[in-house]
Amino acid sequence: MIRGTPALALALGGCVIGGDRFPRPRDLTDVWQVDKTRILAVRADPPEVRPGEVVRFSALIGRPPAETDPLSVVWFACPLDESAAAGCGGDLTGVDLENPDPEVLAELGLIGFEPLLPPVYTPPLTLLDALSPAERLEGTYVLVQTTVLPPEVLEDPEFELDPAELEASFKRLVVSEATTPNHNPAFAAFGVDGIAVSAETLVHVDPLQAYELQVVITPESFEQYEFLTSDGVVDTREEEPYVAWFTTGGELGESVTLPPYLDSTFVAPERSGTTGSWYAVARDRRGGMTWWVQRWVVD
Amino acid sequence: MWPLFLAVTSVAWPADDPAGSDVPQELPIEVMPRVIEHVEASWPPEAKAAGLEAVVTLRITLDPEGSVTAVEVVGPAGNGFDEAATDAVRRMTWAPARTAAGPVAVVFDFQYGFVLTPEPPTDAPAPPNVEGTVLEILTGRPVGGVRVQVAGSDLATTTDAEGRFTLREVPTGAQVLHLSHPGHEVDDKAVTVAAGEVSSVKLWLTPDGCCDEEVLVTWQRPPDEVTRRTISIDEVKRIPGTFGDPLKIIQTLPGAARTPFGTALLVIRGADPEDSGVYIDGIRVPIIYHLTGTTSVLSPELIEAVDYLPGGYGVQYGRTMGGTIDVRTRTKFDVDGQLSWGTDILDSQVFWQGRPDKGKRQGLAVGVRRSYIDVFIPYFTADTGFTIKPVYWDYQAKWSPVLKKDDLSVFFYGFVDSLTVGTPADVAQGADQDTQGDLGVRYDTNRIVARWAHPVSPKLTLEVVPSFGIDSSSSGLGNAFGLSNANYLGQFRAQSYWTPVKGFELVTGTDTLLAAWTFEFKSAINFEAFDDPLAEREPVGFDGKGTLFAPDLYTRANLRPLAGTDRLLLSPGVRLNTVVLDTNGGVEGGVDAPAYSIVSLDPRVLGRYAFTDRGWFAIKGSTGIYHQPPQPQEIIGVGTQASVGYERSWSTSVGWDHRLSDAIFYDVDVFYRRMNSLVVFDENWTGFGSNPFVNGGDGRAYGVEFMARHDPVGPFFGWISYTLSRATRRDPFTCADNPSDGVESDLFGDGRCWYPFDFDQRHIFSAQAGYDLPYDFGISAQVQAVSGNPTDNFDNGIYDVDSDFYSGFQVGGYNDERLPMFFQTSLRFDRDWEFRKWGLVTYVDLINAVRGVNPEFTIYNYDYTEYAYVRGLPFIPNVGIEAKFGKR
Repeated sequence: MIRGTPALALALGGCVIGGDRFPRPRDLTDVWQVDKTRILAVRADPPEVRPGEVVRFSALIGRPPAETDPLSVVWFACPLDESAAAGCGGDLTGVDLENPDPEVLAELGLIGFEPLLPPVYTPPLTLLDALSPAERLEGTYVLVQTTVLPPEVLEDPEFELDPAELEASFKRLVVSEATTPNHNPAFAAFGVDGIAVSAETLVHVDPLQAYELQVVITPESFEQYEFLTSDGVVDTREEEPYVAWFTTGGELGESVTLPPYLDSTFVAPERSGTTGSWYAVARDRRGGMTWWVQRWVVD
Repeated sequence: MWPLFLAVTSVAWPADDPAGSDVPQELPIEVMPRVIEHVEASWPPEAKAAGLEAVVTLRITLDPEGSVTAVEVVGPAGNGFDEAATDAVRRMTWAPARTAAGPVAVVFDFQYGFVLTPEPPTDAPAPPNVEGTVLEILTGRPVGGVRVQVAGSDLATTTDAEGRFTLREVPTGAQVLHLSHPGHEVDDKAVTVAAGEVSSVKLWLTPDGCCDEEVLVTWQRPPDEVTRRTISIDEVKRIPGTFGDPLKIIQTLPGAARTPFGTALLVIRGADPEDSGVYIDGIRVPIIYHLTGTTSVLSPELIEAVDYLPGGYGVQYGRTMGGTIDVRTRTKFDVDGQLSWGTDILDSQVFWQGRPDKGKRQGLAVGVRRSYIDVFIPYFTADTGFTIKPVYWDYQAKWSPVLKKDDLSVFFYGFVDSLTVGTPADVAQGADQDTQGDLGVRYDTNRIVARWAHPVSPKLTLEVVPSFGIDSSSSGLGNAFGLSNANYLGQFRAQSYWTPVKGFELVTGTDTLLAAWTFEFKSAINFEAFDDPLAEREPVGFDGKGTLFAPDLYTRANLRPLAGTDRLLLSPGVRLNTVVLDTNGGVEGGVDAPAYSIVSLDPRVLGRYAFTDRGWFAIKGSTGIYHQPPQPQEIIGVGTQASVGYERSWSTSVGWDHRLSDAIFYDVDVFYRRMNSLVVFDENWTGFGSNPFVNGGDGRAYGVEFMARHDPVGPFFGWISYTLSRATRRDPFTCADNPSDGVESDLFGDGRCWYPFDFDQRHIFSAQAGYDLPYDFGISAQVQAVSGNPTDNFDNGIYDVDSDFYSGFQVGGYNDERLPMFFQTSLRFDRDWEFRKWGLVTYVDLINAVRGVNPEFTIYNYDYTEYAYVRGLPFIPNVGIEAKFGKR
């Protein structure tokens, strides 16, 4: 019994071998937490086009309030085929972005370089030529790739990018001859504890208090559309938009919500004077999306 | 020539109770005193001249140091014999008696015989024609003082302190040796005596009261069981963290890798879990542990022995490339019957075994167990709205009549595991409406197995084992997917054991499997949607059915060229594997494809040579080919005929085992296994209408295994095991696609690279020991230190804004990183309570007592810029009770 006593004391004493050495799952940053510059959504207007129609793009970039340096966003686009499996885009070295040559940009797949060149893309007229009439109804994809460059890139031409620190995203632009092309969804309202607020309103919250954030999606956003099944049957379907939630401070209870539960619980930070933003992003599962940005401050 | 004999003739009793009264002693004597150095008495000259013989009974008092402190003549013979015997006994060197607390003073009766043999004839006496050693099963210790008599004759002798004996003029032919010794079961052993040869035998005695409760976990048992490495149930039950389960002990033996906490996997010598076979009485079962990974699927009370064969096993086992575990259930049941009940924090079980016909001919055992974790979990999750319901249960019923010659049994058993996870309606499980709902998994296994063994003649025995079973499983998540599967399995084993001449045994048999299976898969999400979040959903469904017929044949010769003794054993064998597959599966009915068959041949040879008769040092080795048919999911075919063939391995091992003393031995094994034709996913798969799997992978596993053990001699027992190994594989796709895959050079010069198996663990160390404390208390401990499992490494990711998910950038190749080392220390305190008609064991297990962190998996944050470890085994204080009712 004497031999066992030290071991028992060690066990019951709560000595944890390696307890502090290894990160725990609870230490990981939550997906709703915007504690660095992040691409939260990319919208194509319109989200589904025919060949030759002009498409304009915009990105929702979430940033902590402390990060105010100007950002550059590079946009590339290319038809999604086997050659685009590893992404599209070329070497921009030597390209005059302030006075761009459209032919050079097109060859590179560069469709935008914000803030100098707003992203615009026109699918080639021949993009669907290889498809059958039935396949054209479903269409094909153009891969749109977005990369946020740190401010140092513009300030220092010799600055070397670390791929591990790049913030990049991609989305699919649908190019088709669909009879019911997709449209982006829209928010009808944003509410805090049941009270609608406008996007320009600075919402005042109390420290450590919980609030229910809600969004209302317009009825038109639940679009009906036709889909030709593999059996050759035309199926009329309705979209199922859902909402992803983000915040630059405090805590969110839910990061993704589905109808009819389009609300998320927010707990305000403790420190008075803290400012931040909520982001709500709606996706319709057909490539359409929209967002709402709402600023808040802790009283 | 004046041979003498001597023997301890009565059970010893402590020295403070010299009368040997019936007063119960607190601590029973576990090890009898014995002579270490024998001294022959001087024959009294007058008695010798008169040709007198005598037996003197002496009462000897021995102190704890083994010194004779008093000798009393209680059975005098006179004529100077008493004085001569007393003088000799005082000059002998003795080993003291021992109780659980250590050496003790003891008084015992001892007979010293003066036997006058006839004057030797003018010719030399007949040389011995039977010689051997008597050892104790379980400990392997030699047993002195055993009377060995040739049945039906006056030929008899007594083993010396080393357990050795010789017999002369034993008639040739089949004979029976009758063994008797206080403290051991009386037993008869068959021997074959050949004319002009010396028959050398090794005979095993069973301690009294041993084997009704004995479970022997055998490590690398040779095919004929000449050498056993055993761990008794008493030891097993005292190892913390095993929950008293003999099958959990396997994970402390060399070659067995540690698997993540809470999984039911079994990984042997680095192989994939599906490469190792698990058998119950020779019939394969899909799993050996319940899905929690903490408990095996059989009641410990029903287990007679566990054969753990990490490699180099004989041809009677097939369809596996990795290790094999065969659990043998008991066939002998107590005359008076015994009811046992056990409960701990996980489950409760009740088991009865006995002979219901008042101890006559009908042996019966029944048992049932159910977990009750699901009863407690709601108390911890009530506020969250989540419901988690893990349930497992198992049952067993075995009938085994007592027959004169034949062995007959019918065994019916099964086990069920299920897990249901419910999520509140307002909590999204992903962004998909179809993935909302309950997650459920369930596995069922049921078997009925009959066994009949019949000795046709002294040279021929037949054994037949037919069985039938149903395995079914189902799983699903909301409308996202639902998968169900049922296998109907008929397995037939038949073996003959033929011994035409001494030293030669031929084992021939069949291991035939006839299986029919069905499966059904339904999903609201078509496969295209997994890669393309914008793809339109179309419900998909697969269903299929098929049959499998595998009439494998094998034969094995056990050769003992050294006069039929176990000193040299050679066991060559060959197994003919055949699988005939008829599959019909695929989308919307699939394609009714014709049957196809695959055939392979497994030659194998095992050998063992002991340098001494007692086998205290022996070398051993094996080499052979092992073929494994593809897994069910690899042969279903997707709208076409499956064409996947056998996976193959060539396995070789060499080693030695060495017993250093009565209590200590160690084993060393070096192994190498080369695998090829491993089934891998075809990355060039063209989709429906072609086979998604091909035999394109290679693998290899090699290492050294070491085990040292202290038998439960006295109050201490324990063993340590260490495995240094490596298991790597390659396939035609990983390296070709990404030259950075794998960390090794391209040894075969064909552009493919090696990467570790998922459970490749370089260092596997475990140590466990127990010590008997006074007053029936006991303490035991276990330490495990194991290299972390291989894992992948990611750094940053790219955001798919359509699906709202990131794809990680993998750094290096598959399994290029390794988790931190696993370290666990567990403690156990127990106490036995013995009453007249029942007994009780109470215990406290402190599993992972020092709370080692023990990462099991790596997880990343949403964009792969941060990582953390999912921790495994928590600190578990387990309190348990085991009670047994019946004759003690």
